[in-house]
Amino acid sequence: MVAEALGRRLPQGSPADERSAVAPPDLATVYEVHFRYVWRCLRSLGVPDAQLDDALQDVFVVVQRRLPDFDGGAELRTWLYAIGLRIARKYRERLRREPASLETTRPSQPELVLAESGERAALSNERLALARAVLETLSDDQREIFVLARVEQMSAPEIAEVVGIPLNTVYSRLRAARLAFEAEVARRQVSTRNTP
Amino acid sequence: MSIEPQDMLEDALRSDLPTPDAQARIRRRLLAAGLAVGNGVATTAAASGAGATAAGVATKLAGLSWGLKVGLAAVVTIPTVGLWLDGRAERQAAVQAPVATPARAVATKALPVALTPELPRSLPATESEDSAARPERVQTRAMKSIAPEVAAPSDVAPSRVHPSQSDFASVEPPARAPQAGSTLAEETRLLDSAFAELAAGHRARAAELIHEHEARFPAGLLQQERERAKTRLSEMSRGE
Repeated sequence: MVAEALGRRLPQGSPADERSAVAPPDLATVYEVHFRYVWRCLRSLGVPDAQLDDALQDVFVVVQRRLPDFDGGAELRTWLYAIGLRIARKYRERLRREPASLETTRPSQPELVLAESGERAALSNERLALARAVLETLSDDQREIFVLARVEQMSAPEIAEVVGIPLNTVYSRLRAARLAFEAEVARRQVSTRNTP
Repeated sequence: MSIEPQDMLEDALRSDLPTPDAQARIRRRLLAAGLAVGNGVATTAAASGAGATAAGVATKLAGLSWGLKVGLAAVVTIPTVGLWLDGRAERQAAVQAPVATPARAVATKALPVALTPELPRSLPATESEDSAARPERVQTRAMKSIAPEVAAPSDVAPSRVHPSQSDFASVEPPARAPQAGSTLAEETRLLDSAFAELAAGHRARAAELIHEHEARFPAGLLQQERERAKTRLSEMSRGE
């Protein structure tokens, strides 16, 4: 049951999986197993790099406070994303209200994974930069649904639970988000081809 | 239009994971903020046992009331210091080091985890000032005092299966890094105090704190917690 609560799409065979199979999840285990995905989710949801550390801290402060109330009714991963989603909204709103706040925090440090080397890494980073730029063009509602569905690979019922909207709305927003994403990618491809 | 480019971009987003350096940096920061996120380092069984004991002691200390904490600190410190003075008189330098070390260890373990978190509660506006004014202290706590105990291996934490609100209050970040414009710390302070007043049976004071939270943070991050506090308050009012 606990393994189930830790999320069925976790990397298999990690020591954290074994620990959690015999004990209820504690903050250290949650952090060990889910930190990377929360990090990715916040970035994809538009938390600026310069404020990512602050946002992650906020997420785990809330997690620590609420973990005893987690009853296993939902997957832990779903529950974590619900917290991450709200924190990300808060940071996006702040960015809109105070765009200058970015200047007072840590300068942006892209954390691109460079496991591969040379051209391949450059290509991966280029794709990532493009993908993030395209995400920026989606509306907040579409972006949230797109990230949860296509990046975090959550099911529509899970997304409905995380975002707090009806299932049909999830499907319609996802469809619109995919179309908008594709259209923006196509637009950028055309404009790149036309650039001398 | 081909669907392939979109798939590749989605893959790129899925592959966007933190580097080990970034993960270590954030882990250090969370530890400094008093979050027991583990140290992320494989340890031997012996080290795990020692860590478990230290974390267990720290957790239990954190759950005690202020009076008990002070009393316990005095009980541990006074005989140890007395022993140290005796040993000093009799055996001078040879005895000083081993006896003095545990005394210092008790002080550093007990204070940051169990005692000092009480301070910010009585000083509402001090959190950002505190951490801004004493950045070195934050680092020292993180690296020397809190990390070895609270950040014990992750198999330590299950000992606190159902921690109470006071567990959270005591590990709530007294030395949290300053965050421009963040309201979470203040929300946390208000609701923690409200829950503490509820636990103590002080309904009127709890209601004041809940209303203050509602007035200042109507759409705050801890809205659900506020509702929970309200529910508990109304249950208490009905005598349940």
